[in-house]
Amino acid sequence: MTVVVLLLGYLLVVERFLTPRLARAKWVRRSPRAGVIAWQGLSFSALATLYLGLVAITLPAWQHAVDLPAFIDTCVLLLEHRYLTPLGEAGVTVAFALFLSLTARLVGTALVQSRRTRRARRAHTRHLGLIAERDTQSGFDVVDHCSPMAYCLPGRGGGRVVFTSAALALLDAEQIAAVARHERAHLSGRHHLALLTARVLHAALPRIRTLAVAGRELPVLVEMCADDAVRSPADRLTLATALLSMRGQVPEAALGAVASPGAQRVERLLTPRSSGPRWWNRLAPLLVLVPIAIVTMPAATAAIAPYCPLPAS
Amino acid sequence: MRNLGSLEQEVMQRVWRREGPVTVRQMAEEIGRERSIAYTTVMTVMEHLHGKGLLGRERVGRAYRYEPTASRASYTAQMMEEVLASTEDSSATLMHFVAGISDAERAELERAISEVKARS
Repeated sequence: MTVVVLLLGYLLVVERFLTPRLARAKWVRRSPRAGVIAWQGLSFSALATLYLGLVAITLPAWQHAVDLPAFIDTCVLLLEHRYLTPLGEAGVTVAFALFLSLTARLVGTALVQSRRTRRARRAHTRHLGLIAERDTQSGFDVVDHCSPMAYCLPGRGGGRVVFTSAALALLDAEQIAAVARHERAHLSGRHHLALLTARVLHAALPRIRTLAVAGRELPVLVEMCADDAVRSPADRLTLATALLSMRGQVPEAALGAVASPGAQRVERLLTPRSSGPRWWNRLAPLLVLVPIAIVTMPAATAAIAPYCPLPAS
Repeated sequence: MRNLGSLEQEVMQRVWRREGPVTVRQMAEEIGRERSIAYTTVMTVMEHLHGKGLLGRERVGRAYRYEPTASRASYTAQMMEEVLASTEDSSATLMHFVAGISDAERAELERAISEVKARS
């Protein structure tokens, strides 16, 4: 019982307190890599809390599902007693159904999204094959097109970096090099996987605020991570000018008081790189351990009793 | 023998370059000037391209005359539309180097950039 209450309380802390704090934290934009890891830690912590909560509720019922040898019967009874909730059989059944449906949603969404992405990518690669010319010196693909664009396409063999002819005409050699380095950082860092994971989690569990906010924040942070692949102040200035040249339109009204992500990135590139986040901010991934600890607590204390055949210390 | 994929690319690019309808025989002859290739291979490839909607064809006598369904430029434009659309979608199919910056911000940022340049 206590377990479920504690897990619920922890989930509320994550949703209502930690998530807004992380969204507002300035260090995240300054050190985007640590920020991405923090969001992933928080997301998986929320997910684990939900999952383990359902498992904890259903735990007492498992001994009926599985035939257990007599000598651990007492141990199981003890555990059952610790995890028992006043929900009764109906409650446990509902929890088990939720557990199954949650698993199905996660697996299903993951399969659907990854297949969709892979198919779109393969189609695009084929299209590129028809119209792009490979520049053997630089290694990127050039597409003859009047609008300046640059992008990377993850895929087998390291993926590809594509520039349109208009982009190559618009940018100077240094800018092209900086943009290429940014795009290659996306590929080598496999950022598309981080984004896919965040999207899957949010799609499978739309009601969990943490996952929704993480899904919004990660694309911007991932761009900043790729920006950081460009290191020297001179190169960062070059990348900033390239960003400005290749900018997309954003209507004023949409922004309000907040700077657009593009402006944030440019400003960031213009300021000298600061030190990393405080050490405690790096501990966010450890938050995944909190729900695990809460759930195993009763089992851990039960083990002290001589009824559970755990290996002698 | 090259795989069909790269052959499809080659045929498509040659068709675009020609700017006019072409029969299988003409295409086979054109490629044949550079290396040996079987007529049936070229025929299969052009049929594939037709099946994929990239080539249209009309019957002339006993042979087909093939033509691209869209010019290279408009095919490219269509593709690039997808790239632009994917940014909104953040589908992570590809990652586009672009950032939305409002007009007001642009002026300010250009000023900041020239300040930094002046300093260095």
